[in-house]
Amino acid sequence: MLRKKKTLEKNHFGLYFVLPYVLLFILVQLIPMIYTFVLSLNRWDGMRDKVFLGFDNYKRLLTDQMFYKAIYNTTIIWAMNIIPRMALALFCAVLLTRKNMKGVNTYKAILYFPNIVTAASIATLFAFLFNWKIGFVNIALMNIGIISEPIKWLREPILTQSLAAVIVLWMWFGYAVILFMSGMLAISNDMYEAAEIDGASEWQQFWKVTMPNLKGAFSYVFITALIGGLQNFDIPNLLTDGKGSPERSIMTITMYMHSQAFEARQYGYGSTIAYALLIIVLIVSMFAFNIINGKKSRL
Amino acid sequence: MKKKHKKIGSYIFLTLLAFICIVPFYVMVINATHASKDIVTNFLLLPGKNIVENYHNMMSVMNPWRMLLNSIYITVPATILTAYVGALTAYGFSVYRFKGDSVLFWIVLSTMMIPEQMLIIGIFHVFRIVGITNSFIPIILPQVAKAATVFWLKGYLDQVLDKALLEAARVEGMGEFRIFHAIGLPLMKPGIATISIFNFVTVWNNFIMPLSMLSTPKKYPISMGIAIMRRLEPLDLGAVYIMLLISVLPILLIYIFFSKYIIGDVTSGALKG
Repeated sequence: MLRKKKTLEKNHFGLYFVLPYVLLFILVQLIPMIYTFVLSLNRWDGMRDKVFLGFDNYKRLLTDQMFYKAIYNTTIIWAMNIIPRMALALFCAVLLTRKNMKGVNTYKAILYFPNIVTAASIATLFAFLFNWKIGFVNIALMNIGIISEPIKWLREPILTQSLAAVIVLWMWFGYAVILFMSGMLAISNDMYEAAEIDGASEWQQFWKVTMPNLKGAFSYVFITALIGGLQNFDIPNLLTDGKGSPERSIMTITMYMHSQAFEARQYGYGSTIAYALLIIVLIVSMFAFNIINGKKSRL
Repeated sequence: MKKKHKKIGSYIFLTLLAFICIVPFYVMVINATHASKDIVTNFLLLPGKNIVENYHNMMSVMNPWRMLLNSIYITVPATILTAYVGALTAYGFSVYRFKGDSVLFWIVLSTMMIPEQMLIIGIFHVFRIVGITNSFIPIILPQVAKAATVFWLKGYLDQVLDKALLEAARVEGMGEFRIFHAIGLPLMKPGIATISIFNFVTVWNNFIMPLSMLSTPKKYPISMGIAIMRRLEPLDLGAVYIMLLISVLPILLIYIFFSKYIIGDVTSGALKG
């Protein structure tokens, strides 16, 4: 009885330990969140007085063609890379977790490397490599004889969007490989042996044993890819001129928010877009959680 | 026989992918050693002799070394603070049961749901109101409260901590904070090391925060420097590529030294955040 009391006596210390984080949360998350909402109800250039607009900014947003284009651009870049990314990562993970594979750690290290490099560097590098006049890609392709005319990679909207998608894929599939691999290595061999005894082929074993046990890793990779994809900024911003060229085709939601707030100095409207981003992320996350958990219960 | 074909096929496929992952960087290095006019006209696969000239051309436009220093000024404090605050918080949740602990835990959890980019405008103005502009502080502080770090360290601590150790220390009259520093923190060291490498890389690579908070080029970290080079006209291609090379080098070095930690421990997945 006495021992228990002593431990309980100290429990309030937990509050002190957690306090710094909570204070930071209030300072850099809660207060900015509230202030951003306040700003979204105003028109403000950062210098002159704020002009109260009520919900006019939100009404404006709902009829803003550029906003819808930004959503479309963000979504299409994401949609173009998510399935190839996960399929490729799964495939690599399967190959690398096979018995007696040599050099696994080296492959892992190389495939993951693009993820560690600064996105800004990668975007800039690819911007110059795919420049239609002076870029290495066109020079190489023409020298090898695959094409006779330079391809205007970053002058065609659909090509630019595709390239942005490919870059994201290139940067992130290695990350998924590592997560899938650790998920696969956690599956006990007994399950595979049992399936093999039942006569299952490697393909069937993958779907009956591997995939169901990868639910956790799969969900995590998918949801983080989803939320990350919605906030795509560095790559589309630096791949072309920062305004989404060509034809605003890679202007993402965050790019639009940033340009309205910090370039056009419309902090009020920029804040409205910020809240739209928040709402979109929350809705999409909830949707994704429901789909994934829905599938779970059906198993 | 089929098994052998499968095996060879696997190695070919994986090697091809590895090649694709490396080639852009290889081209970057090669181009950094050639003069701008050669890069534009020739199909170059081997190193050239213009690296010194390119370096001087780059230096006449910007100083990446000062930018790397700025990156260090931002990233090192951020990483240390994140680790310390993360450890404190994880320890608090792991060791104690106090009033409101589930509410606070939920708050930490919910911070993961807020897209950090939406806060940038608010952070900029909140710090501006207290007189802090064009400083590293609004870049560092928002990147310190990382829920993923707390969860990672709490999970780690739950596994390695024996509460009997704490009791023994209390019996000897040690205060709770002293116990944290003497027992809790050392126990968490490996976990802290792993998560700190990720946090370091994440903060180092961050572009949107310095872009939004800084207004004088001499304070720009390397991620901003890359953006400057991207937007420069007219430009010397050789200078661009050598700048890119310098920007990638620190990361490459960190990766070579720490890849064991980075790759070996990306298991629970609750790391990047």
